[in-house]
Amino acid sequence: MSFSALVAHAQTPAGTTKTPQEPIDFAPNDYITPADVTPKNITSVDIAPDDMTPEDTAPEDTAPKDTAPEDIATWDLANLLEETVVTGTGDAQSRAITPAKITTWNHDEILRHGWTTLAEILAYTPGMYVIDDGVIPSVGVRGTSGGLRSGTRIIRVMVNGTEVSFKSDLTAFLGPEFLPIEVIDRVEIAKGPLSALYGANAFLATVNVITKRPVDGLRGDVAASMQLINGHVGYGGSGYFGYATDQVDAMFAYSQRRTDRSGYDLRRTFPAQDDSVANYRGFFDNPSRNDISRPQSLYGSARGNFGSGGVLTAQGGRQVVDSQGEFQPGSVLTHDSRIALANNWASLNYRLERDAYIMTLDLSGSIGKPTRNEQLSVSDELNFYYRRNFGYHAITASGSIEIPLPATMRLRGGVEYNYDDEDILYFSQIYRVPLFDRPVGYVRDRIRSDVDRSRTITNVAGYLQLNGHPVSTLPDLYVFANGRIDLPNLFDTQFSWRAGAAYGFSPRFISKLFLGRAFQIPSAVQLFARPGFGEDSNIVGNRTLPSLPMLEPQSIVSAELANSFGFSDNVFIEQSFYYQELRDKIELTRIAGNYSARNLDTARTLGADVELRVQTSRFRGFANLAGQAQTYVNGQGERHFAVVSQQEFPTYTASLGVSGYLQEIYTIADITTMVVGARASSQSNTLLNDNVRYQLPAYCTVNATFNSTGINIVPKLGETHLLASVTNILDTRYSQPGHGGFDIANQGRRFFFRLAQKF
Amino acid sequence: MSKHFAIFFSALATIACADADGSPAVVLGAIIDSTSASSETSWVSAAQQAVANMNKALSTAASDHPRFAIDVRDSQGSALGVGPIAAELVRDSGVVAILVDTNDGIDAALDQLTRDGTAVPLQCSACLNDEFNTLGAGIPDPQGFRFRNVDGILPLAYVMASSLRTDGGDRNNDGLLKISVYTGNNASDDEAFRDLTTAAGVIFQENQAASSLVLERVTHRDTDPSRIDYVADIVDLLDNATASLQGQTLIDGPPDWIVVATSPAVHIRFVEAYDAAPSNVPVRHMQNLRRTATLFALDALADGQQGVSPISADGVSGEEFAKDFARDIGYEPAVFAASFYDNAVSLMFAQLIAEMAGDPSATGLRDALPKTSTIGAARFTASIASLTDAVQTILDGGAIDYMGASGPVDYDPQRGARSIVARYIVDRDRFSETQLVDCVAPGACGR
Repeated sequence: MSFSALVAHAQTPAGTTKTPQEPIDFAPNDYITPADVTPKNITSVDIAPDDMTPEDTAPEDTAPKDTAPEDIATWDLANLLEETVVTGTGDAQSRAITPAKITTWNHDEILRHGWTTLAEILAYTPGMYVIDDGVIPSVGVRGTSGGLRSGTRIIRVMVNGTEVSFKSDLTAFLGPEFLPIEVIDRVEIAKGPLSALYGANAFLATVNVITKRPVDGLRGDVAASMQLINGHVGYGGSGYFGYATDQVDAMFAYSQRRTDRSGYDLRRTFPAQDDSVANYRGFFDNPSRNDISRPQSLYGSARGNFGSGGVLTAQGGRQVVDSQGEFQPGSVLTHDSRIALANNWASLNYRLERDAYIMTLDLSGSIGKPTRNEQLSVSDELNFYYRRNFGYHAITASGSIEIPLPATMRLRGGVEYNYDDEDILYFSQIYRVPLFDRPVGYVRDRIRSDVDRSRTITNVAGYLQLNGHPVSTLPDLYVFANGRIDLPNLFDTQFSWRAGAAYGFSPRFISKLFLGRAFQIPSAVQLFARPGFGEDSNIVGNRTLPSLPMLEPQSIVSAELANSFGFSDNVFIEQSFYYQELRDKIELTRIAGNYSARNLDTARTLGADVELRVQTSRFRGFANLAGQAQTYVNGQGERHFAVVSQQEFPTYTASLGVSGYLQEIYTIADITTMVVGARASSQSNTLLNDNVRYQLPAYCTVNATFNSTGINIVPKLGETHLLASVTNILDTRYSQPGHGGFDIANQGRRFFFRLAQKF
Repeated sequence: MSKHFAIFFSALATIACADADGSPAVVLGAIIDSTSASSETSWVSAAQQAVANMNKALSTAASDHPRFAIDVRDSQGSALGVGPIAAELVRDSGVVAILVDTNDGIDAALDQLTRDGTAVPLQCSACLNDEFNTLGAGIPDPQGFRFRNVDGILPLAYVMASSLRTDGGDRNNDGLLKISVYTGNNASDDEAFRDLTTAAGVIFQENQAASSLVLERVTHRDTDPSRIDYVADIVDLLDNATASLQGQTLIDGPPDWIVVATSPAVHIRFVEAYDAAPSNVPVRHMQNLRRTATLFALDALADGQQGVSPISADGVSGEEFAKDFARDIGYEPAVFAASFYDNAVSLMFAQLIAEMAGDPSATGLRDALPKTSTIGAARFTASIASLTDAVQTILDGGAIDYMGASGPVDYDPQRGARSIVARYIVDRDRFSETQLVDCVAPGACGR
């Protein structure tokens, strides 16, 4: 396929392919088989703009199809250049020219590597770093960490284009509770600022999880799993059911796990950690206990294709985080802190396509709050435990219209309205022992009666997006420009933009240059949280402390040059260089033992990342490498340039994965390894270490996964699939940057088994 | 490992703080609790701001004097490590003087440096012990290196006792003014109780009260705030009995007041526990409740708590400091922050004075410190403009009288300073000063 064909596909109007809101067809047999690794023939969707008709909108055009078994060696890596992604523009487009650096992991890869959570997937994505505190992992991107309890605050996480996050913290849950892993068709990770497309929180990266969609009658899958960690057995179960006809389809999936992570010790990582001092009492030689995680995930979707009447898609889910919090600042190794949050979300999308325009309407809503299981203990506090009171109700409504312009340019415009009713964070103190006339269980709310417990956050936005091939004599030139204006009720008007161009020097060598600006507003917790959870380590809202400077949105300006090379059918490389300036960085800074968000100085980052995919007749593999250098401001307000010491982020990451198709023994064996460079201490731990930055040493982990393939124990039903994996085979012990006087201990060697039966 | 960090940090401090022309800086040391639950972030910030302001003043005055730097170390709220840190600062960072924050801390530093033979002036900014540089002081200071710019506990006790009288005295009108005092079992708290007793007696006599006066002391037996039996202690504080020093128990009725005079963490937990007590006996706090940590830990429970403390900032100089601090650092200075600012400024003035006198040694610096507040000399305040004028005056060979942000820094024979005492109340997430009592004047506040 020529580059022109590739571009022709890329600029195909959104409606002719698929949108983020449209899940992908569910392959009848979605486990790893030779058939599954057969690529979709992307040329089949190379539709000229003028060919756009409602009929062309059938999502089957780009959906993964279950095709006849073919030899694994036929997989043509050149197609990676043509792989369709949707996150870069909101429409289906070739990843080689989409105006963002996008990494994709498809269902087969996820299974082959034994990944069972979104956090694991992101950890292997170049330029991203995941710190797992055992409750809600935090994600850093390209040298920048969100800091204490940041979760995914600096990135936007979506399911089929709908943002799914616990809005009070602006964080998505990345564990097994995010989505049942079985329903994920692929994950697209776009690094760089995408506010111009998605709004405030598409800040440093955007993660779009594309789900499968059922086809062809009633199908399903039930699975049971078991984990072994430190000799502690855990278990889980999951299942999905899908039904489809020509006009409608629906799917329901549920998963639940119980994992016992007990037995992990904190390690001393900086000189000031002296457990005779109150700050560190109970930190060391005190392995985690009752360290149980009970994530639950529910997901459902339905879709109706009404022909010329349009397509209506609904989806929704429930996510429950329920984990022992042994490594939380202020509540370290108390053995009875249980963090439990529930997040429910739903969205409705209507899409109408006509020759002259494409219209979309979206409505989504979500609610979240702690569950009744939450119980938080303060280190060294025996008389009370605590519960958080916070939560939110949010609605987003949006609409867009897209029209063709002369030549092959297209223009899309839209509006969006967000309403978020936030119950601000405050604590209730519950008596464990009677105090005078107050019995056990007595509840005292730690908030003044005159404090407004509810705050409303709204935003109105409008945007324009222009893209296409402006010069007929240069068909290999593709340009794009986005602009967006946001009118948040709590902050000044914000502008986002993005512009750039892609050019195909040859069918196998494509370069693109893009620039952009994005912004991010602080979370409701960062703005309004009240203290009251013990004496220290509270996150206190910036607007709770009247003497602090008013917190403002942070912004980023970046420029990136990305190149895609298809050296042969079996070797593919994507590489990018970027420069970014993070202005008014929001960070929780330590004040009198507690934390409050402030805008800090500008951080500048210069970096590069490389992705390599290789294929031979029996093997396939990937290799990723990312690294960056950054400026930072030390505790005395002095600016430094650091190549080897970035706060809470590794200097470099390198990962490698190789899968072997052992057809003779019905097995696909996989081994992955990751090397993570040194990470500098967090702001709070630097302060605790006499304002001296320290580094956590580099480490390496190795994982192995075995997937069965082609086994049909019950032929009338379908394939029986066994997955066995060992994570961290070498039992490498390392620490991830933490806050409050400790760095987070990793989990050692883990075993995971999963047995599934399709029907 | 810590030695390596110290050397590394010292090198960094020297390099980072060198003059533009490469000449090394004059380095002050500071050992301040920056990270415990009782820490005050603004203390370190105030000392750093003083150094930054003085360097700006030197630049404005076009002085080629080496710039100042400060090497701040964290005591983590414990005096145990202060001695070795002080030794490290002198040995590895070459500091000319050290700022410290507590009684125990300055004694530990002095003890270590005296034994090492490397003593430098030590300036304390939150030491309130009465026995500062007296014959009763635990660690002798024959060379006179121990300074502070705050007062003892006695004036605070006097204002506390006075406030109890004016706020109602014998509230239950049983003919007995009974004050139950909650303290720890240490020398500092012994002193606080003794001063409260003395002050209450003085005020009682001054006002010729019709009722009798009793002060009861209830001591929490455990030093670990998380293990104290607050319920039992509160019952003791509220009961009708008073234990005499002779071990006898007198049934003399319920207290009219409870005064808490112990560590910051115990203050906080006491408030939490007392909130549950079926009692309407009002509580007053000594200075240790007045921490930012209190607001974080107690939130709504802190509202309405009252007590006494040194003033947070005094007069025009205090206003200038507070305004600059809020602008540069981003939040309000806490109590004692102005003292840290003043101590750092005084030390830097003294360094300039000592150099002008041709003796920039430790003893020269020590002898120059009182000259920063020369009576009758030109007065200067805490603003950068005024610091610039003061620098110019010193470099011209003149005398200065530094009017500190925390009040006058006029060293008395015990190398301490007198201060203004404030009554405070917690009101909607901040401490407000409701009354200022001038304890600077001779004979004021029970002395």
